[in-house]
Amino acid sequence: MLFCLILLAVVTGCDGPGGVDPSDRLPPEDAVNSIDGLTAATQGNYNRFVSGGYYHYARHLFYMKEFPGDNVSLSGATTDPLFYSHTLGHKKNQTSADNVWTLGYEVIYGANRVIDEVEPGQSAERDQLLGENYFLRALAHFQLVNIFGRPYAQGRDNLGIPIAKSPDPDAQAPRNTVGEVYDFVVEDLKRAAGLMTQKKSNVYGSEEVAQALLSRVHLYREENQKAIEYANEVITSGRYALIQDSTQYVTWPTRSPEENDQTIFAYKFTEEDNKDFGAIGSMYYTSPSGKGWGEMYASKEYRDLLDQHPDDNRRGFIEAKRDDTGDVEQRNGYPIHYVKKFTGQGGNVTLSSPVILRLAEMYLNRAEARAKLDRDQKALSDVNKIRKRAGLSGDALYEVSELGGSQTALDIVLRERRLELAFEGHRPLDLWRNGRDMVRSYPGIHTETNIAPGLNASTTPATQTIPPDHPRVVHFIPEREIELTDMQQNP
Amino acid sequence: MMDCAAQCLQGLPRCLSYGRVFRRSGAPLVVGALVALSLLFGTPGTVAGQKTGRIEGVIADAETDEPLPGANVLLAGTDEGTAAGADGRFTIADVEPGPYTLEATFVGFQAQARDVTVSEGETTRVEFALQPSVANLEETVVVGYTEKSRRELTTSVETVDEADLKDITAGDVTSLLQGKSSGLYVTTGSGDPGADPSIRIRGTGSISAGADPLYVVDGTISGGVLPDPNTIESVTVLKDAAASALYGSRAANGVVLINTKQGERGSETEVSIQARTGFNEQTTGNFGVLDGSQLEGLHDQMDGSSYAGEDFSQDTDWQDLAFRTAMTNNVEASVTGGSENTSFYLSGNMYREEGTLEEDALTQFGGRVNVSHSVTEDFTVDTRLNGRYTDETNNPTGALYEAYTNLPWDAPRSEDGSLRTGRESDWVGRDNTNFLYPLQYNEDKSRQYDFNGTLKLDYSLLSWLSFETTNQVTLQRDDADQYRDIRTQPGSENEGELFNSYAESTTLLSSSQFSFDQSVGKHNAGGIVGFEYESNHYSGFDAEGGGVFPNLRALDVSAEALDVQGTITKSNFVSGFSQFNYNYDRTYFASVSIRRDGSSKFGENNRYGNFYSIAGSWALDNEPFADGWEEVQELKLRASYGTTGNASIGDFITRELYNFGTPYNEEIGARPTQQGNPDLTWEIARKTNVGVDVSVFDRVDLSVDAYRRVNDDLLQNVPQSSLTGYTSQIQNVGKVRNQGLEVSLSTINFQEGFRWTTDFNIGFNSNEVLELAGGAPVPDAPNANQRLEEGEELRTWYMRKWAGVDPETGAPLWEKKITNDQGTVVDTELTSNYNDATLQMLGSASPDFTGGLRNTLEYRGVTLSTFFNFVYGNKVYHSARELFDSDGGYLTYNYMELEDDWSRWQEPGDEATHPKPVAGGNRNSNDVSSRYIEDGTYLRLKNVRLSYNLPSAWTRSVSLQSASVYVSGDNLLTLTDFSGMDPEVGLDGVAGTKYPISRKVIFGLGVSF
Repeated sequence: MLFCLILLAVVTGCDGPGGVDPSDRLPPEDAVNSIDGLTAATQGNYNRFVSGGYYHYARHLFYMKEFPGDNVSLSGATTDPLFYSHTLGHKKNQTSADNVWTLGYEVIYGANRVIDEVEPGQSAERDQLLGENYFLRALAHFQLVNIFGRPYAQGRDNLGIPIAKSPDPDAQAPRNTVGEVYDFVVEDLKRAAGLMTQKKSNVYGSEEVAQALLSRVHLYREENQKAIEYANEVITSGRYALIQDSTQYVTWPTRSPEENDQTIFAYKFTEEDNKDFGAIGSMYYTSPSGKGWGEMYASKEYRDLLDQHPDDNRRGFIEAKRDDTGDVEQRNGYPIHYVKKFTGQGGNVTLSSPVILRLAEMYLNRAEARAKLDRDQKALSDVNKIRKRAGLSGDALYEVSELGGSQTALDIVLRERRLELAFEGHRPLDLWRNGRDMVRSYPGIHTETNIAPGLNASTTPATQTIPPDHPRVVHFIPEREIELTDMQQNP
Repeated sequence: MMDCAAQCLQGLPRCLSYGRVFRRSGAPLVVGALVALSLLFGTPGTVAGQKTGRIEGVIADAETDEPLPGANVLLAGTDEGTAAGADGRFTIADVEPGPYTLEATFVGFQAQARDVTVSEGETTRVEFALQPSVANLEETVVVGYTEKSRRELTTSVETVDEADLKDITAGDVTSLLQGKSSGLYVTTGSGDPGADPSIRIRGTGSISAGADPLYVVDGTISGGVLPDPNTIESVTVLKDAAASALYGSRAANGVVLINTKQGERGSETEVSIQARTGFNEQTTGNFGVLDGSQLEGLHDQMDGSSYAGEDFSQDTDWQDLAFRTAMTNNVEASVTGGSENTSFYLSGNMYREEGTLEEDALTQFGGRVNVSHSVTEDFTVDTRLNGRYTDETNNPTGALYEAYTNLPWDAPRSEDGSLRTGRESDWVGRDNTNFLYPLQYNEDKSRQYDFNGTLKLDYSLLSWLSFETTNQVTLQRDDADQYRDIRTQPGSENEGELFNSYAESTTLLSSSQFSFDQSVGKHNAGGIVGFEYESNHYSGFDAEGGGVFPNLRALDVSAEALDVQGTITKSNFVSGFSQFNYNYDRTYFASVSIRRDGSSKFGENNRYGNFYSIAGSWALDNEPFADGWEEVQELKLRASYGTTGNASIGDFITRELYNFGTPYNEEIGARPTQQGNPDLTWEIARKTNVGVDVSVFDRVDLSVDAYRRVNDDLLQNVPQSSLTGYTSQIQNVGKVRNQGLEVSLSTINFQEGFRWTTDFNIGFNSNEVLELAGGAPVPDAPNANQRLEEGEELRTWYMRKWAGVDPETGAPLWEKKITNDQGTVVDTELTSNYNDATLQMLGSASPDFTGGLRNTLEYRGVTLSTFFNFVYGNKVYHSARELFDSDGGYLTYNYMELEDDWSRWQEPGDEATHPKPVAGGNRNSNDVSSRYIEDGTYLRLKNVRLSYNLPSAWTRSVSLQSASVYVSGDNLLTLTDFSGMDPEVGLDGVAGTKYPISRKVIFGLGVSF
């Protein structure tokens, strides 16, 4: 009996089933009830772009936006979902699409939680956080609508993605149109630009970051005057500068974004975020010690374009792998030309902080908008600004007198965008939103496998002209999401 | 006491169990003394009378010649009889002259009768050699918190004893159970000596929550440390609700009870030593990769291959370089014995198994101390301590994968004999790696420390009431070290890397109960009322450093810190339980149990759950109408119904939480990772069982059980639209039913001179998902490429259906279903466009039936036993074929040899199984489809064992109790159509680049003295 009493005493001293709490997580009321908590919750939204393992948001984003294009050439088949983005043989259950979709909406949800929590006008600090979350919500919507919805220029009424503007969205809502999503993005970005008054580093949202993205959004919307205005805001803000020194220029990927004056906004990857073989740069480069897959190379067409001017310092991003005799080595019969735009941050082969917005794009946005407004002289002047920075001079610069016949100012601007922004996820959309064909008549696995339906496999090599109205200009909405929501699938 | 002794002398069978009860409390001495006394007083009378005769004899085990102390003899039709002494001898004096039938009986042996004639003044000598009976009805079985004799059972339980358990050579108990109990499905996806097999009792009933059974060791819920195989006396599987309901919220998926060996009071000290050693090699089944010239042949056929027409002189056998003939060694020693008030069992063992993969090895040292001591007549203390150290060395390279995919054209060494890295410019293989290179430098090791200590106090309050309390602590610690040398590709990035981790878990359990037992006339009742508290704590930590000078292993040398991770989690359970048993005349049995559990794992609105069961059985053989059924030892009908729960989910998943483990730019970050569900509660399994136990002729023992288990309120990760910010939420929805039939049959086929016994078991299970959240199918659940759908089996494959090869073009074909506007399928056509092909349900990864068959032949100490296990009707997805059977998809991976009835398309008109090989792949032909679904049916000769027990006369002359030698072979033969190395796969049904199980040949020696 005494024993029973002791036992009872022991047991009553123990925690009951209600008395146990986690050690690494907090209930929402404890998490967001302070400025520090709100800061942490905002940080957590940036985190979605860089966290994860081998497959992560930034990797998919950059591959899905760049690999459909003509700057790259793949040297062998792979079951990595990037293969389907490259060959345009998209699968309805493609991991990359599923991943980008889910993580993108996690950013949006997290941003909505903070937006829901914060009343504007309480303090500059709170407004900054609120503005950053509007920016993040806009950025994620914009990135997703360009992967899953047709280019804006092809019509406002094409299906985009569902807009989520509260933490408790209608999960069964149908897809909004591309026009509605773009409108929503513009609204958010304008609000964000107005709220953000702090000058954080270029791995966070700020007034200029919102303006820079607005420049791009308006360019895509063919609202050229606005694209010019926002580009001007950024260019004249004085926060950014082109890197004029050639050596400094080609080594910018090896430096942290904060050390690059030209960078407006980048996803910051730290040593802890390094993805090794899953890093964006891994597909483009193998280090001498074997780090990185190194299976995706600069295409022959791109290299030929670049090699027209031996002085062009952008050639420094391309590195041929050569054997002892100096010959370019091959993989499966394809010459190995590595791309080093996503490698070597802080000396770490696979580490890089991929750039989302940089100053050169602002000049080229303005150039494109000006060309479309028939201000050819000014457009070429913007292009030349970039070319001079690339180390070119004399004949390599453009003059209005060269225009006419087969070459327009827009042709020149688009070619320069290709040269300058290669591998950064611009090229395919730049062509398609301008109603131009993507032609990939150069060696690579894409000509052998030829998976995209509607392409002609009977010619040798197989036809690789992808017109802007091709259904595979966009990815399929993830099969899983379709099954859960009855959303309409892309054709 | 006298009363019982008198009954024993009458030889009534029901007395045997009383005898056993008394022996347990030290009574054999008393009984023995009484027998001796009666002899002392009886004998002089005999001598004086001279009108009677006497019978003397000995009773021994026919198989071992060992005497059987305590065996009973009875002169049929009289009250006269006795029990054999310690040397097996007995004497019955003062027997009236005349013819008699003398019967010898003993627990676990077949009764034997002899006709004898007793003459006046003479001594008649009789020798009995009793044959073991096929089933032992009086053997006690631990069920729940109580012990019962098999006869008293009302539930479906099955026991595997030591001899049957230990034929296979393995370091863990779960592996030993494969094929040995009906309805138990044990399977492993890897032949790694440290791999844990998966185990399911009566199918899988849970979707998102864990579906492993609950382990109970010596009556106490295991804190996670299972005993070493050599210390196990028996394993009992509790299958139905009546048996398992006492374990409440954790018993939905059945209970495995493990009983360790105990010493016996008043027995002589016995030392026993077992040693064995042997060889392991990989099983390769029907599988082979191409050699150099075969691969050249394939590339010559391949469209667009840049290697067509090339001639490679190199022919490397990467399989041979990755695998080896390895060794297994095992030494076990134990000391057991007892005095009047104390019994003890001490044991120690060493087990070392090398993996067939280079460098891979498992070493274990284990020890156990079980001591029981009676402080007073009413108060017993029982202590059990179990410790184990496990050391594992893993192959630190991609050898397993590369053995399948590396090209025979690449040489592992350069001409000067040095190892190549794989990054040489003339290396052809896709992954540019040579596992032999990092194998020189890198390391991957882990260590495990397990400890379990139990203190049990048992106090008799009244003759019919006792109190028992069990208190247990379980400590586990796992350490892991990885070293990646600067000279190797994995270590190059950070100039050498070191990774260290440790994790520890603590489980405290306290369980106390009152037990009572009372008989009035033919009414026998018993029961327990108890209370239990359990608390679990788990924490872990790991760190990674870079900049490590070669061959250093401590993190303090690292030049930079790369990563730090940690975790802490807790849970607890509070439970009350009770059970009541009643039987009338040991003919009609009934039991009822109730348990109430509360756990921190569940939502605040639903923290407690109630579980109950009822069961009954009817021993027909005890009825008066069965009086003439001489050959029927047992005929019993059983039925039970009850509920159990499943709480195998994460610790805090009911709460809405922000996770602070999401930093950005090296600053604190948090994000909402979990939606709350305060209503979340137990998953409930409703189990119905009916069964019959038959034991006849002392030679045939049959149990048949039919069951149905419906798991309701399933804890299910319900997928959600990403728009919600979450991909899933755990909810109590859905229903899964498992039903089936189990048969276990043991027979003694022959026992004159040599003895032949057979044990057979088979379990049929069919599974159906009855209900899902919202009725909608769930994609990629429970595993990738499977789908949950109402009316279908759990683990049904869901993918595109392969339709062979187009004879005209050699292109792959899949089925495409044409649907009308209403969504009904109106036609099927074939397509070579992977995207157009229709996803469909294509068979289940769960087997239709599984089982085992053992045959044992014994003759004069020589025993030959064979054990087969079999699995039938499961569909295996051979995913690794995506890599090495890709029709050119992976240009520079090696390829598997085609099976006999496979063929590659070469020219129009070919009816082939494999599409035209095309460099870069032929239209996604190697993408996920039923092309790679294969029949996983197999029949395996799991074990053959030949042993010889040296004659006891011979062993005694060298002061040994017994000695035996044996040779044993594991996995010697497997019959299957599966194209990979081994058809045995994990529960998910996927065969990847598999670590095949080992074929072992073991030589063993055992002595005891």
